[in-house]
Amino acid sequence: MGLQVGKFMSPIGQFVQNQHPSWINKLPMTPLGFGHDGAAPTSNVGMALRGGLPKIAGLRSNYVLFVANAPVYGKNEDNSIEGSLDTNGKTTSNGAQPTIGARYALNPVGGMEIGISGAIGEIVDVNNTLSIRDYSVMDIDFMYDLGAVALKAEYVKQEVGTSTLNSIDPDGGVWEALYLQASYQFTNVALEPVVRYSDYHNPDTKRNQIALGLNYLFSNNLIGKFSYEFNENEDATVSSSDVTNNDILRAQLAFGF
Amino acid sequence: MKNLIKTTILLCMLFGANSLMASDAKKADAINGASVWADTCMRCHNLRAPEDLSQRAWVYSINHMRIRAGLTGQETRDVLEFILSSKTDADEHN
Ligand code: HEC
Repeated sequence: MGLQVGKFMSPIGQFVQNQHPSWINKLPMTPLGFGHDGAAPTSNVGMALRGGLPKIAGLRSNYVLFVANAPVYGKNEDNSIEGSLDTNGKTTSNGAQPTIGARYALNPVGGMEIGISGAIGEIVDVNNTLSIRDYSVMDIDFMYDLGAVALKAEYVKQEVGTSTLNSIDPDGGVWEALYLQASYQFTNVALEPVVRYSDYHNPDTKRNQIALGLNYLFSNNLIGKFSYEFNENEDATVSSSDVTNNDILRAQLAFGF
Repeated sequence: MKNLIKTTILLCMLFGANSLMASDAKKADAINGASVWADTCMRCHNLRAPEDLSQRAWVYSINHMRIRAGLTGQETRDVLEFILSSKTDADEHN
């Protein structure tokens, strides 16, 4: 059993806490909605208790329980205020109830993990700490390493309740994202093709992306990555030349210590 | 909400008691370590070979991975035993 006190990566789901480092993430970018300001919570300030459980019916499983300061509603990374979620760990709850959450993950066969996680609490408006609403998040994650083939998937949903005080966005809303990824490591050449679908819906936008990648493994922790992303903004009124509709070519060199 | 906090605290205590009982300091078992390693250590990232890290670095890293991978204390000791016993003579000077 381990105890984390202070600031830690959000224990919700799998991508944010365990796939984010660039030598681990098989594509240069995070899936839509799983980066900062996305649908998946980023980090917490609080306490988490976690560890492995004794085998149940011959199967391994593990858990996380955590309590953390409440997130803030309505602050983007560029400080603009527009119905968005700030889930970077906060040093205060601003009078809101703390977030209480858990994750339980089961390993049905070697190389596989299925996790389910969630948290509830309250969220406070950035420009009006009297406006406190309900907050919840739930997540299902899956990974399966079959040797050459590796599969990863996750769905996350954060929900912000309504506010009677009408400070930013009285309606609140739902932020949800999904990704499905498959990759294949050749044994005779150090190449690894990757394909990933992701989509991200929030009260302002609906987007999706298909990313194709090809990695060259100089070693298991030194990886050259190329990717091509097909981005689509599902809102037909958004111009086809908008960044959210652009195709993007990326290259990245990643090293893990 | 108060009830939830109580439930959380109760659950923490249960898990705490549980892991205390489980940790009756059995000797590290490299055979079990090998099986945990094969089932777990390639799931999130590419394999990190025993010779990638020095013996000292493995001791830190395996405790780091205990948190990441959600291993029990016994499983962690077993995997470490397996990794260190797999280090070749060539990289023994580490
Ligand atoms: C749940 C996902 C996950 C599993 C399972 C996992 N790792 Fe890791 N591992 C990570 C992450 C994430 C990092 C990068 C940590 C960082 O950068 O802070 C990492 C980093 C490492 C490193 C680099 C040094 C370090 O400590 O950061 C080594 C070595 C390593 N893992 C070995 C292992 C071994 C051995 C196992 C099997 C017991 C294992 N890993 C299982 C997620 C995982």
